[in-house]
Amino acid sequence: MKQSHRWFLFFLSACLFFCGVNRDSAAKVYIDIDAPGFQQFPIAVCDLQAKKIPPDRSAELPSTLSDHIRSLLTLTGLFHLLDPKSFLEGVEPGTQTVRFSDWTMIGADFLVRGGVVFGVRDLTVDCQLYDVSRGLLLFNKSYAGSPDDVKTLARAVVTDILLALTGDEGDFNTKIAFVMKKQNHSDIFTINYDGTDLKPVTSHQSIVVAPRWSPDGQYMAFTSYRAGRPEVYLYSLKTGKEKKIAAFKGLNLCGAFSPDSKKLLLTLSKDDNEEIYVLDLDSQQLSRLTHNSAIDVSPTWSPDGKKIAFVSNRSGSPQIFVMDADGGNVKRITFEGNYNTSPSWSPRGNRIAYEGLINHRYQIFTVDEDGGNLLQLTFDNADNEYPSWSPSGRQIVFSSKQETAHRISIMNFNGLNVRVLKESKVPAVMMPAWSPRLK
Amino acid sequence: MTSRMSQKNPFGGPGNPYNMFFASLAMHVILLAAIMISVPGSTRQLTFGPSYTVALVGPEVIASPQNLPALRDMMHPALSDRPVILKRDTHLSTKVPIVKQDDSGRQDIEKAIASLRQKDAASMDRDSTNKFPSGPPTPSPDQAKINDYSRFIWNKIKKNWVLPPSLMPKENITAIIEVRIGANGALEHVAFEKKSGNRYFDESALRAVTKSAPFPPLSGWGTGRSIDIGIRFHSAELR
Repeated sequence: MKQSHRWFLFFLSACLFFCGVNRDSAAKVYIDIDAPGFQQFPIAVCDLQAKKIPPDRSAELPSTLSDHIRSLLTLTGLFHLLDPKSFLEGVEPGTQTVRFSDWTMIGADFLVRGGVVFGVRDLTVDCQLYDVSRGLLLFNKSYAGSPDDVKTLARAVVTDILLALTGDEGDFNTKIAFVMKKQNHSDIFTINYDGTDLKPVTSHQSIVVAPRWSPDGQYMAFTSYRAGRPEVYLYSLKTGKEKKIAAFKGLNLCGAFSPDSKKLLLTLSKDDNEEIYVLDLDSQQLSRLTHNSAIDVSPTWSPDGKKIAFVSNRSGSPQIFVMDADGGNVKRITFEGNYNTSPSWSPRGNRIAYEGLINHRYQIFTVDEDGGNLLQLTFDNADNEYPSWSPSGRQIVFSSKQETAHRISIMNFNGLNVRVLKESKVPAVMMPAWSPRLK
Repeated sequence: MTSRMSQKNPFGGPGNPYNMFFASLAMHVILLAAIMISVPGSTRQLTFGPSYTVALVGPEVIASPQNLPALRDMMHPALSDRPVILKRDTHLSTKVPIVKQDDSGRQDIEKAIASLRQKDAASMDRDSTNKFPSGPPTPSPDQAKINDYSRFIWNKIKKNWVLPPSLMPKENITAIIEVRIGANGALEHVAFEKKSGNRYFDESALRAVTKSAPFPPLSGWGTGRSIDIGIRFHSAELR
């Protein structure tokens, strides 16, 4: 055999050998997974540990703080809290190590643990968040605060947990304004997102409706009948002072603030029928946006300020329309049902929530700004009205009326995890508006 | 000049064009083989063997994998859900106000946990020793078993995938995670073949995979050493 042929045979054998070796691990399978098994993070929150509790402080304080953390996590609708009775690993004061397998075994994805150190006047909370399935410490932070205000401390901890796991601080530092109505009088009140700290805003001894927060958290606008007809007022949340900003002849109805808080949308009937206007709050310059013989009301801005959604009966029944911020390019986006109103634009930009009449009940719907992907969120035997998005865009607050019971409720943006924030028969509660994140 | 160079040809011969062709062919082939060996065989583009795609979206696959005949031997009791058992154990220590009884209850729990850990370790040992034969590897994988195994993996990872819909971006995204499962079912390698561009989506997918390990042993089928699986996580259904 020629030498060249021997070389060739050698190389060929070598190649075939190597190909054969690699073939052992070559077969590869692809699997497609298109929906998660669960939509809530399973999280274990251990009771915070305290080495030494001063005699003048409650021994229950660390566990109370832990309970607040659990409650706030539950409020978000993003977490499934694991029962502490299922925990395999105890957490004694000073314990540093984590047996991750003990936590994955009970189904946890995340673990929160830490300790409390009491100072002379204040206390410090050390808190760690772990990703137990990957064995990672996600953060280890200290929080100083007053022992008399553990809720604020709990909010700070949970805000950081949300930031770490979602990239968003959530809706904890927010309030919800709503109208309380008793007989012929109504006023605006605010309540914290967690249902605490109910406070009055107005005291007009008249009918006050439609609270609207400015996105910078400085002002609230509303409509009041104090002068015998509807007029629009601006209330400073900083100083507590209010002033009348729209008192034209006919109806003056409050709309939404622009994203930069410098303009306010109004519905005025000073030119015969109800039309939408925009008021520059600094210059007091008023510009008309709609020119139609039909009724145009309830305007709300898109988060980028480029578009406005509103209600008009120009097609024969109240429907949701979207137009450019200068009033041009009007498009109808709702075509199901004969009564669709109260649009609210998601801060995430892509969805508009509204109430629609279906089967003789008002229910909450969401729809894309181009009219696609219509989704009904509420189905119960009640009138569910006035949807308003949370700053994170993950939750919606709305009012609900069933027989004599009135409720302000919060649900996830997909209609799940409904919880009652405020319930009352008399006075009635209605027209909620979610604040921006407050400092 | 040309003839002189031809004569210096290391494959000998007076510049035979057939020899040159074979030499060139051999060099190319061996170079390709060398690249294959130096790069791990898990990358799809560099895999010589067949690349299977298993579409598992029908209702029939939602049925319990225990019903699959090829998986009955894989579904070892030790791999069943443990929290239920553990919760039952922890009830022993509740509602006992006396300190001494509390301590004994606590000891019971510790014992129960210790025995559970031992059982868990023992079952894992059994899985790795008894289930996987030490004989020579099977030369070619059985397609049906690969499909059943993939179905089990799909079911387990899907169950462990947790992601709130509100964390989804507007557009459809996909992340691909490549895993190598060893003969004893251990996760030998896990890495992103393709990231989705959404950090929280990617992290949730990675958590689902790591949380699902260990997997059932290969039980003598497949390539004998390990199996490479690409898991594509899609957001489409979430939105």
